[in-house]
Amino acid sequence: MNRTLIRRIAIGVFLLNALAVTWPLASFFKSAKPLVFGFPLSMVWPVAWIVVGLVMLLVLDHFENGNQAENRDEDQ
Amino acid sequence: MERWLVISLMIVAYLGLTLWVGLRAGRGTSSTIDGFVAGDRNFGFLVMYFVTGATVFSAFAFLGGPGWAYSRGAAAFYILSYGVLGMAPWYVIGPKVARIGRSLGQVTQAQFLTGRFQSRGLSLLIALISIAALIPYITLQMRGAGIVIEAVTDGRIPLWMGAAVAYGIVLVYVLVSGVSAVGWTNTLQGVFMIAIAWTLGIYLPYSLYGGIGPMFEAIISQRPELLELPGLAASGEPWNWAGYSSAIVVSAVGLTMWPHLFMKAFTARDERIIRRTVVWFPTFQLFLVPVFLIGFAGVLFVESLERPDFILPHLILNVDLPVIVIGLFCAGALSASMSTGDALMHATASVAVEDGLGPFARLEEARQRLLIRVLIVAAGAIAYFFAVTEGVSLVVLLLTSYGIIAQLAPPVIAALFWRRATTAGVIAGLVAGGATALLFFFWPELRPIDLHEGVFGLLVHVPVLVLVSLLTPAQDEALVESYVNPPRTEP
Repeated sequence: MNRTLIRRIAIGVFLLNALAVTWPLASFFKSAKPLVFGFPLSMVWPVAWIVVGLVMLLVLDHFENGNQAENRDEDQ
Repeated sequence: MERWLVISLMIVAYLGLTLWVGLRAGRGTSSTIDGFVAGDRNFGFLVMYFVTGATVFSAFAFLGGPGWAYSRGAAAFYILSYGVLGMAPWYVIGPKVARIGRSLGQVTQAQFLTGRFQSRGLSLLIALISIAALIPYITLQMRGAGIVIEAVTDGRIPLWMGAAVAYGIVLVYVLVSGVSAVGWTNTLQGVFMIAIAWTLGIYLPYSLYGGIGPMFEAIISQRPELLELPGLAASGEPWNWAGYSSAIVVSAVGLTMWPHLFMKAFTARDERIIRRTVVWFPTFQLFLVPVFLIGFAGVLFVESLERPDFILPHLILNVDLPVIVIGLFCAGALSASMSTGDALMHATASVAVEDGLGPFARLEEARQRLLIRVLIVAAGAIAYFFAVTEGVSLVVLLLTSYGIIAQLAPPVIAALFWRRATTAGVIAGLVAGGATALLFFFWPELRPIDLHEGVFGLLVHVPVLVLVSLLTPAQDEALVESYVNPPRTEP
């Protein structure tokens, strides 16, 4: 996959994220029931988007960094 | 030994450790402005990760987060929603800012903006906005530290003394080691905060309700309205979606525009490190989950607390926890407060000298560093005065400042991406947007709909910026090019 496509997908995902956690989309996930792994749905919904954001950033970073010859990963 | 004495000893041990780390951090950093303010642009990934995370999660997250969950329920979930949204654009913006800063020798946000929009007035305006927003923020951190220490020592160490001791230590290590101290102490404090939040966030629901699921079941059966979005307003009435949604938007726009965070772009060793910090930031955001669990644990156990921010200390002291857990909690709360407070004090003084004074008076480096140190003490003293003075409505000030700080986003975006933006346009937009936000803050009844005042500010700001820019002559091509398309220079 090329980088331009991944960038567009990333922008799309974060726009969707913004829409998903605000009105009106968030109102479909506003109730506490059902509990998901013991947590209320209204809390699981924004947490799920944090995880989606993390995965998207990992994928984006993989492709952005993929064509660099040396992978400089030195930690301090 | 008495409980408060054991806890006090643990606090002393923890503060000693922080001081030791902070003082060691300065070794090897050059004694220049670059060294003191931007750490010689040499922060690695691990330090950048914790600086970013621990700076965002302040005493507000550790004390205010549970307080919101306890008193306003699902309304607190807006804090879960804006972090990643606010940080993601930094993946593109951060490295670009760092590259420009490196090639033009900038260490602050105003230097970055006035590098393209050359105006001493603009520099002063940004300095004033930053300082006005930062001081109440520092005050909140100090109060947080003082509250925790006062609560767990049963009032034997009063707020004024606790805040003075904790921030005396912050002052010492920031004065000696500059931003390097902020980096290394935040790493220590970040680890502490995360470990303690998860421990308490799981321990409390289990010990009080027998588990997380049973806890939420119990809350739903007795307070069904609490867990339904958009939660409750401060008054206890249901909150509205306009307020909830616009709080997310303004917070996301403003997040990386806070001077103490923005400036950290200049401290990274290379662009890769900024990108990786952004990529892993969501893992820090998940730390809010246990923080909210702590607040929810109090819902059915603590009868309407007068000041919800005290929920965490209150719960900790009344649930019969082992003394070591209470001591650890203290260290966690102090970590949260101090890791934000140090960055804030350092940023305030750096901004005042570099942006408020710098453009108007030529000072040699040694004088500048001396002046920054003097102003760190001054900023601490002013904030301390407010922290120990009752009756100053700080939360009000802090909420206003978010609406104002968000107004720094359009100029930053314009500087990096819009060739046609002009100095006149940026100043006009900033003034119009800031004034609008303040207007709707002080006269909320004028709002056509119940949106955050920062949103109204942005709605006025952007068209004014665009219109005035288009009406004034375009900028010099070479200058624009150095911002829109900065040269790639890796160290």
